[in-house]
Amino acid sequence: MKETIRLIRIAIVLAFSVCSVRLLGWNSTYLTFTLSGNNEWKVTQDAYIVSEVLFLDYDLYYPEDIFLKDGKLYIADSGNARVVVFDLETRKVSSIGDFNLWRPTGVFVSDDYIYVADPGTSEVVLFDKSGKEVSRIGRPKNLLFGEFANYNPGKLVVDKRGNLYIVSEGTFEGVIQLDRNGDFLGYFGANRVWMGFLDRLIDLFYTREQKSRLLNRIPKPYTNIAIDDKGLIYTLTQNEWGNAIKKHNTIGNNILSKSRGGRMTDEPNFADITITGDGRILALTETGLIYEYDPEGNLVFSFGGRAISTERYGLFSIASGIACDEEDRIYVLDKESGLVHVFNPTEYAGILHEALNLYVQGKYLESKETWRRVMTYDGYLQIAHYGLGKAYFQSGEFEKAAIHFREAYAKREYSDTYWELRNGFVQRNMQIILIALLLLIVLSTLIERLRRRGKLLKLRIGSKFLNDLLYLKNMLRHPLDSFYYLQSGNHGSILSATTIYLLFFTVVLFDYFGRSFIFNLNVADRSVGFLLLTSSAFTGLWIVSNYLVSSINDGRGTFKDVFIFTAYSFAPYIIFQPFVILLTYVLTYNERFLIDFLTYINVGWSFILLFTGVKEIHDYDIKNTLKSFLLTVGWIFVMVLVYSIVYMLWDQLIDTAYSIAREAFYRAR
Amino acid sequence: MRVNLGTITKTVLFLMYLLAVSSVFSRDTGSDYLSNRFTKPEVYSQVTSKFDTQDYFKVAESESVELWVNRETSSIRVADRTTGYVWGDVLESERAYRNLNESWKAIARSALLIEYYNERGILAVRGSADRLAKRSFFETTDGAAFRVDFEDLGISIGFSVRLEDSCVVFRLNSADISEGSRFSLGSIVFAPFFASTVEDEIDGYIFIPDGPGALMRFSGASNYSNWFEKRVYGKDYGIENLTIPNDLRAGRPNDFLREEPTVMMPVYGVVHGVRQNALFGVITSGAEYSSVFAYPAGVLSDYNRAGVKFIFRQRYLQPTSRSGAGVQVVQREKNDFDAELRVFFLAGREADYVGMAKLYRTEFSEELFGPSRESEGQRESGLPLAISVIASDIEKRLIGYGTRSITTAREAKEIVRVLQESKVDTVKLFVEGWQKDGVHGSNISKLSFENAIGGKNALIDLARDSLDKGYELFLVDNVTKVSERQINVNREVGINLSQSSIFEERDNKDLWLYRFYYSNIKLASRYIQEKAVGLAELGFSNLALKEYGSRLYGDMAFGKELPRSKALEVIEETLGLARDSGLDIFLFSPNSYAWRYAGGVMGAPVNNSQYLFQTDTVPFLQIVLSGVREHYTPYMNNSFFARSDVLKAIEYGAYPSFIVTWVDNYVIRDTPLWDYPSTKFEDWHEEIVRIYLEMKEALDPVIGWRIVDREVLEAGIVRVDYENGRSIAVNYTETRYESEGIDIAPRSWKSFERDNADYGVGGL
Repeated sequence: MKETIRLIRIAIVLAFSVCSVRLLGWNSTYLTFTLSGNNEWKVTQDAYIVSEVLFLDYDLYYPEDIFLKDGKLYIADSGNARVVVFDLETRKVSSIGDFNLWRPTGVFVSDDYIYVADPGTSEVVLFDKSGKEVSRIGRPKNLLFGEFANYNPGKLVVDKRGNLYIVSEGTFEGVIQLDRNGDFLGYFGANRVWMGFLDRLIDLFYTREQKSRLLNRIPKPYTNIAIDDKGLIYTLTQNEWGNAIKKHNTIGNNILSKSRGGRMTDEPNFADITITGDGRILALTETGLIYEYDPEGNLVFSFGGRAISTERYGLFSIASGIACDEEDRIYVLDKESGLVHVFNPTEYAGILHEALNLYVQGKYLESKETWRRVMTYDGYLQIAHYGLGKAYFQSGEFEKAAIHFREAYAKREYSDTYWELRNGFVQRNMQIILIALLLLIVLSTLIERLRRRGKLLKLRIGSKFLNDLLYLKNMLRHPLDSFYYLQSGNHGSILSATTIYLLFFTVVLFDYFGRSFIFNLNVADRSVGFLLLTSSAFTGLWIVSNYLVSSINDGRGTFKDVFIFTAYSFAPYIIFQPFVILLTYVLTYNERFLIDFLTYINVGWSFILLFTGVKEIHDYDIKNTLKSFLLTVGWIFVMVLVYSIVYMLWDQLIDTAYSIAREAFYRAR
Repeated sequence: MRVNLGTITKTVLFLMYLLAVSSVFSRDTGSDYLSNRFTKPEVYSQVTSKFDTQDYFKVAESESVELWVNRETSSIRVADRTTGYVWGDVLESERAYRNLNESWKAIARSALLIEYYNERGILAVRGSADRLAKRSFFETTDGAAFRVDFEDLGISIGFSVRLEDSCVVFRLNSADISEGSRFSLGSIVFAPFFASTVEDEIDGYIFIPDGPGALMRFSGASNYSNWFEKRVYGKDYGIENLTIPNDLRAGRPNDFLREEPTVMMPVYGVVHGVRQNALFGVITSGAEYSSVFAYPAGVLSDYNRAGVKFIFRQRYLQPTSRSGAGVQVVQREKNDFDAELRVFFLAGREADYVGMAKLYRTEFSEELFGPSRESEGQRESGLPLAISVIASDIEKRLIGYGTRSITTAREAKEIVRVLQESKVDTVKLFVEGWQKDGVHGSNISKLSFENAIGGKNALIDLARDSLDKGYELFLVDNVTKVSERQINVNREVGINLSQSSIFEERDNKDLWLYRFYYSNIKLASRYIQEKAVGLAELGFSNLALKEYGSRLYGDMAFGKELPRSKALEVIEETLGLARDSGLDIFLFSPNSYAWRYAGGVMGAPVNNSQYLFQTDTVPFLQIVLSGVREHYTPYMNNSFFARSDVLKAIEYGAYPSFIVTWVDNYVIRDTPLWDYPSTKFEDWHEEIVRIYLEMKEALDPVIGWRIVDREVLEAGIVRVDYENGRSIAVNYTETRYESEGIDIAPRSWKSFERDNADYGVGGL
């Protein structure tokens, strides 16, 4: 029995599993991902491939950190309580701090010293380059630091002036900043506490005492830290989405705008971070994924992976440290196996880095050719399309710029380009536009005059259906009367209402899918069927609920009435929204308020009509109308809820029946 | 005196080792050529055998080999008469042996290892030398026959070891297995510790046919948690789990692994002292039910060992819920096959992986390449370039699906014209997605043509054009691994042992098509035959098949089972018939049984699986194929275009291959081809021509000739010798190489005439 249970467990694990792919490149064991246009993950060419695995015949035991300086790898060999130094040139291995360290988990090397963070002894130990211990920096004596504050240095960096930035285990106040003598300078850039809706709600009701007793609102502690060549500090926080990586200015504020906005493509289980010479950010997850970002925090590559039952090049059991050299080689430390994998950039990555460097320096024009070369290796790269767009924009080739901004889904930049194009168009065709405008004015005054004199032929339409359909426009001017006539049966029929519904769904579809790129609502790549289903389901639910609610609330309207008046209530949306959709093709991002404003008016107007409709058709007063309206909405909610519960139960039932059948079939055979 | 000699040898060995290590690592750490995707230089240190034949009984001898058996334990030793080297399993005096537990001590000295399942499906192992096993031994004319009774298990097995010329043949007939009711036989291994070594006591390696070929050099014990074990001819989809547990715990799509190269040939080898002593095993019966294994020292024991496991039963997942979760159960019926392993012994110059490849291609020439050697007679005039174009594919539209024309027949013609104008004389044009609805949408059961690319007539016109302009046109088809839009999922898909359809999924739901089905092998084969006939009638002369020659699985639908061995027969028959209908067949990464039907091999792997314990990649596959079958690189524009990749292609003698489209990359973004990062012909045109012309210059002089030797002169410098007296030396390093008259610029190659046949042979 136990065995069976174990096997079931294995099977369940298998169910959440993956199979591998026979795809493209052949030098790496893992796939390299990047982001394409609409922030979609996409496989790209190999960006880095593993060239060598170091320490295969050297026993590192649970190493925690790796640092590279002047051609030497420094590894905090935590389990063996020492720092191992590996010379990349001579391949000689030596060790530092044997018998002096307890549990070193962080190592940093400056021009003069080797700094080791040892949470085992709660000290930072300084060695000179020959490996001789120089001093120990223990707990700061300063009163400001306090008697009970945590001091367990786990990771650290040191700036040019010798100030230490220490990530201490269990310290949530921020990075501990000490001067070169170990005096406490203050906490640096603490994380913020995130307040959710529930938190705010609780805030309203709890007393101060309850809050202090029950709530434990402390910021998340930092996990790791890095420093770039300019002396700026980068931190990592785990269990954060969108802002796991922060780049701090001298007063500790996050200056990485993408991360400040919570828009970075990151992972909640980053373990280490390092900054390359040209400012790119490299972060490593515990599961062995390496993320490379450009200096602005845009994702460039994501590669590597986890070694489960496959100890292969580029896959990690538990990844713990990452370092980078000036040739862009990446060194990744595996804690579990005690190995360092060396990743070499491919020619593709090399060209992309070159383009990024030009871009970061603001040399957009010079970067054009390089970006084009990048694009021959992967035609989908978001970052390359964006860079190329910028380059074309700068050189005044707005049409090409527009294409690339569009591919990069950079709406704002596309809009700027579009503004230029529109501007150019208007300037070139000013005469024609002016003449056309003039003609339009003349024509409209002419028609107006004719109409006033009654000379314009009045079109008489015999068909009742068409008349009913055209009655839609009356809803705009005389809603009250129109609803009355609808109910009395003078106007409107099931057929006309059905046609109006079809019109409505068509406009909805066009509104969702058909707007210009800048104002496109279809960001989530929904299908037509999905939209039709949701919009018709809610309309249908409204009709049914409203009928049910009103029939027990003395409403006069029949089901037919509800069906018809609801359709006619959509009049403003159906009639005016197409113009708004057309307008999206003319306006730019800066004029966005106009589109939003007009849309609100159309939708709001329709809602007002719907409300009026309920009142008129069922002959309610305002209070009852409001009641009916709310009850209907309530009903819709209940119906959706009931449906989902039934659906889930049904699914479970089928699952159970299936399992029994499978089991029986297997046993019977 | 003996002791002294030993110490001296050891000191010399150690010094040589140091020298070797320093020469290997004198360059920059982290260079690509130091990875296990390349070959490391040899040390050539002298090796002597630690075994003798005392307490053993000679059962057979031939001109070159003597076969000795220990009647007590069934342990086997083989003495090479030419060199005096004695091959054996373990010494009872060594520390590594004493560290084994009792059960493994017995296994180490056994001629047969069995894995068996108890009634709860739990696996255990037993050796023929086990104290609970009863052994009987009969001498035969050319060897010995054994019967081993594992009385407590109720399992009894008879097998034989005999000598045939210079090779030792292990054989176990299916009829000689009897089982009780409680325990069932899982698998067997012949002489599991034969040719094993303790850590790095001697210089040498294990050769495994992983991808093109991989070496595992003997090394000190390391803490690996896995060993190498792969099914010959790839996974058996009819029974094996196609999924491995993986969770990146990340927001990113979970699929991160590339498919590992498979074992395409049923061989393995062990070298004791490079160019001194080697053994080479070939599975001559039951290959489709076997796997090749290799244990580095430190995994389970301190021995490096390798061999072949014949699988009679295995566990499989019996799903009990719709989500796929279930229980692991043991196969009820035993696989029905006879197991036979031939072990050849190589000595001197031939005792390395090159020698093994040469032996394999000559001894097994008929099995591998067919009886007639017509292909050897005709030598290609110049290096061919394989250019694959994707003609069309299905595309997701706002409403429903459509078919997107990606490269029309006329555009394909234009591509060839442009290439021919750029001095690419020999072009092989492969057209994919010519069928109605393209690569991922075409119904596999029918011969159809996509109208958007010009339809049937345009393709026939293209075929005519190919004759006029002197290039070859191949239509590419794939009836094996297909999307749900290509087959009737209820009727045409393969069924595995747990009676579910066989499919593979990528853990990436961002993809439009993430699930691929494996079609019923019988139906797939019928479709190929029908299409081959149809195409031949229309005047096409070439067909290229993807997946068909590289995937081997049966159909386990209850009541009409087609086992893996029968599936292999069906495949061979189909390929034979397709060829007989007048078509030249090219296969993508085919297993060895399909080579004889193939005019050429596409996508020959160039790297091993890159396990940490694998130390080198060697072009064993390429050496076997050289001069007999043209073989091509994987698509070079997909991550195989770097300088070192081009050099590797030259070194391996692989012909260049690219995949291109006429349209721009982003045009195909809504098709399942989205995964190809870069295929636009215009982008690649110059690069293709540049790579081709360079490879042509290098490979033209040796085209159609066999590789006779390969040597790594120092880290990153490789020389390959061809039988026509020419050699190519490749320098992967950043520094100029100058030695013994060869002078190669950094990251470059040189082709030259050898002075004598034994040019530059290092070591002993």
